[in-house]
Amino acid sequence: MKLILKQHPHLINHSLKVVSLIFGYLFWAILAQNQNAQININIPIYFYGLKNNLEIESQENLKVKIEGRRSDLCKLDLKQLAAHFDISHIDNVGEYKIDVQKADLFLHKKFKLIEYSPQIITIQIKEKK
Amino acid sequence: MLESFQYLYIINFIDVFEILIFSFVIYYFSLWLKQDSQKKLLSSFYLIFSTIFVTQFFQMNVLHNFLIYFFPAIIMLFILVHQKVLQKNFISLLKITPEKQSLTDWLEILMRSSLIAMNNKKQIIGVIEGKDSLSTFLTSSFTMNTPINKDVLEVIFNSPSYDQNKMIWISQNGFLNAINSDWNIKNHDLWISKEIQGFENWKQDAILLTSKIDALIFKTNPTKQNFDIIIFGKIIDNVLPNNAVQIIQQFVRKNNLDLKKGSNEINFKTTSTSNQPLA
Repeated sequence: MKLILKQHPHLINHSLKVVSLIFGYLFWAILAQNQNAQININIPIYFYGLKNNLEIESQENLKVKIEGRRSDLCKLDLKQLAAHFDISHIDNVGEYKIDVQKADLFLHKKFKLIEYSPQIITIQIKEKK
Repeated sequence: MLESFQYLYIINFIDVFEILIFSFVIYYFSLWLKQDSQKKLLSSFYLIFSTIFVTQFFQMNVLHNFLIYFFPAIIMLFILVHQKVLQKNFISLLKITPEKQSLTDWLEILMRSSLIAMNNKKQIIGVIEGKDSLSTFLTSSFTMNTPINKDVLEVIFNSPSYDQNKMIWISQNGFLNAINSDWNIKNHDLWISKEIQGFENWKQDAILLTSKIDALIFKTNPTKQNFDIIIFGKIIDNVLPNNAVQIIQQFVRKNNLDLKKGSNEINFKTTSTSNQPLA
């Protein structure tokens, strides 16, 4: 091992490596902060406007891909992100299909919703027991 | 998403990969700059980097944009300033490894034959090859590739075909590669500085080549009975034969040690021109 280190002095040049890593990161961060980036996340689904005598059965998460400036994306509070659907117009029990729209995510206009799945959510409305 | 690294702008593993590439390039560029101990280019390089970060932090947008947009040009300037090391690294396209052959006394034989030739009023100019191959820089009318021995040298130095104004080409492991060798340098005047333009041609060539490649050049002075040696672009004039042997030995030993250890641990004493014995 010592022989290898002697033959390759650059392997023991730790301080230079650390400094290079710091400079490498800082340089990358400066260049990257204004670049657009994309993130894939699973966001929870919430429903509002449900009649008191009804209950709902649905999938819990929506998979979305969002694009925006890296600096904006990194400031985005991912835990606050969710899809909200108004189901106040549903009065009867049964199976319903809801189209997912960008507006349902209440995303700021500086972000772009690139893709999401599923694009249609199927919900089951049942009578509350 | 690497949520724990979100505040560092790192979103996924590709970002980490990009950072590692940047760091890798900066590290090897720093290593390269570090080799030049005279000009402290590494600290200047770090200073420019730091300036970019400081201007970003303090929102000095004009200066920051200027530095970012002209960063490639700044790097080119660095390379220009650093061109001597670059030339040294690239001028010799071929690195050679001497054969492991025990020729411990070839240097003494060479010196003895040189002294005899000096007594016969014959001048000898010789180039001893280091790790850098001289094949691209020398043209020779007689290629020999024979181990140095007394009889061969005697025949050569007494031969009418031997040209005293040309060089004998010796490898560091004691092989006589060629005689009547000449430098094969183009655009000579562009390379030579004004300070050394007054020197004899062989000296100008020797200074130029030894400053760029690993070689030692010596010339006997039949009238003064001593040697002129040029190594690392420096002239050591009027060296007595025993000192000349020591200097050449150091040169050969250094190259052999470099091959074994991969490091430059022995420094040459090329500080002065004198007849004083080396310590």
